[in-house]
Amino acid sequence: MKSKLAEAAEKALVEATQRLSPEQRVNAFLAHCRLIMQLYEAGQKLRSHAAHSQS
Amino acid sequence: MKTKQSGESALLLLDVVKLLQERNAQYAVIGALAASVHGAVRASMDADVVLSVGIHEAKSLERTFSAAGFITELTVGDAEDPIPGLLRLRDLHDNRVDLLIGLRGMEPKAFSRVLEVPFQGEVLRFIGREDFIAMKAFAGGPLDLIDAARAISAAGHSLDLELVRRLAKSFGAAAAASLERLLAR
Repeated sequence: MKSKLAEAAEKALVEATQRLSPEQRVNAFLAHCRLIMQLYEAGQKLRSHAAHSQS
Repeated sequence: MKTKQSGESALLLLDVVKLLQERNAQYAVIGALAASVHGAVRASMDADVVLSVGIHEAKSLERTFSAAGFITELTVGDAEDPIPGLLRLRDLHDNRVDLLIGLRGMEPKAFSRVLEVPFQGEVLRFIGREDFIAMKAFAGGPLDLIDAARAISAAGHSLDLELVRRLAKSFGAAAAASLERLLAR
C-alpha cells in the first residue's frame, strides 16, 4: 500500500524525534518503554480479572 | 542496580556499561535504542549492544556479570551465524540487555565512530549513523528496514553515502542491494 497520508505521518514522526536532543531521545525511549509495560500489565490484570469473573 | 520495575532496560544498560568500562571492553549500543537516537523513538523489551570481544572473553564476562547479580545466559552461534555469540543479561524485573559477541562483516573501526550521548548522568556510546543503517540493511527484517529508512530520512543530505555503501558492502551483496533499495525511496 502506498499512501501519501501515511508517508507524511511517518516523516512528521522522524522530524519530531529529530527536534529532540540525543539525550532527550534516550530519555523518551525509557519513558516510552515504561508506559508500554504499564499498559501491558494493566491489560494482564484486566484479563485475569475477567477470567476470574467468568469462573 | 538502577532498575525498579519492568520497562527499564535502558537503566539496566547503565549498570552493564559500568562493568564493561571497568573491563576496558569496547561496546556500541545498537537496536531500538540506537533507532531512537538516529531515527524515531520506539519501545523495546531489551537493549542491544555489540561488543568487540571474542567468545573466550565473553565467558569471562559472563562470570563477571553473574557475580554482580545479573541473570546470565551465554549462547554460541554456529559457524554460519553472523552473530558468533550472545550474552543475555536480565534482572529480577525481566529487564534485558543482549550483548552481541561481535557481528561478522562489521568494521572494527565502527567502535571509533560511536556517538556519545549523555543519559542519567552517565555517557552511552551509540553506534554511528552510517554503521547503524548498514547493519539494519544487513539484518533485513521488516522492523530493521523501517529503522534504516527512518535514519536515512533523518540524516537527509548529511548522510555519508560513500561510507554507508562501503559498510553495507562489507556485510555482503544482499545488504548492499537492500541499502540501495532504501536509498532509492
